[in-house]
Amino acid sequence: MTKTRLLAKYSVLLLIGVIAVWQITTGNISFGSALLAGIIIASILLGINSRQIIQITEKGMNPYDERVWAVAGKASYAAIRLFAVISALIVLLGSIWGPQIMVNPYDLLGIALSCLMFMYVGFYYYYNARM
Amino acid sequence: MNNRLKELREKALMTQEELAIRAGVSRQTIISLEKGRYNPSITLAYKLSRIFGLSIEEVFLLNETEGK
Repeated sequence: MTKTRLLAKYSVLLLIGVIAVWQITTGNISFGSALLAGIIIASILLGINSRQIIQITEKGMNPYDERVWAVAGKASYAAIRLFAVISALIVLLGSIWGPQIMVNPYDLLGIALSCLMFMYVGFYYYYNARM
Repeated sequence: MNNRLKELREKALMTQEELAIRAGVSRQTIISLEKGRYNPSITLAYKLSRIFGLSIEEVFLLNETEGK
């Protein structure tokens, strides 16, 4: 990871941190706190990850080699496929038997995005271990 | 696809890390290749074959059942 990319990632985290603090101060405490917790976790993981990448790079190896892209490609495909099947099933069954419920579209989109990300991470670890 | 990477590497008294550095990949990739879990790109296959001074066919062996 280059210093510029790392700086960009931390800048984005900082920006989200400012938004989180702003949300807490304006009364949207639950959203702001969740955002803040997410940023703290992301910062820790980013720190660990970048340290590992720096160590590998210093040894002269390439942490972003073709195998990583192959694993990421397989994980993306599997995650999208599973997400599409589950979404289709939920839409089908929910439209027939499900109750009529009002949802906040932003919450729904956030939950869907989180599910997709969790699926991707899970599949990435799975294919990384298998390949 | 089978390969003789482990055999050639051990013959050359090279560690997985040294081979990874010379090929410009991670050590995990060398481990996967040696276990036969990952098939390399043509570029990486070329690089690895050149490190041992051999042709691709001498390092990587296509299974007859593969691709059928």
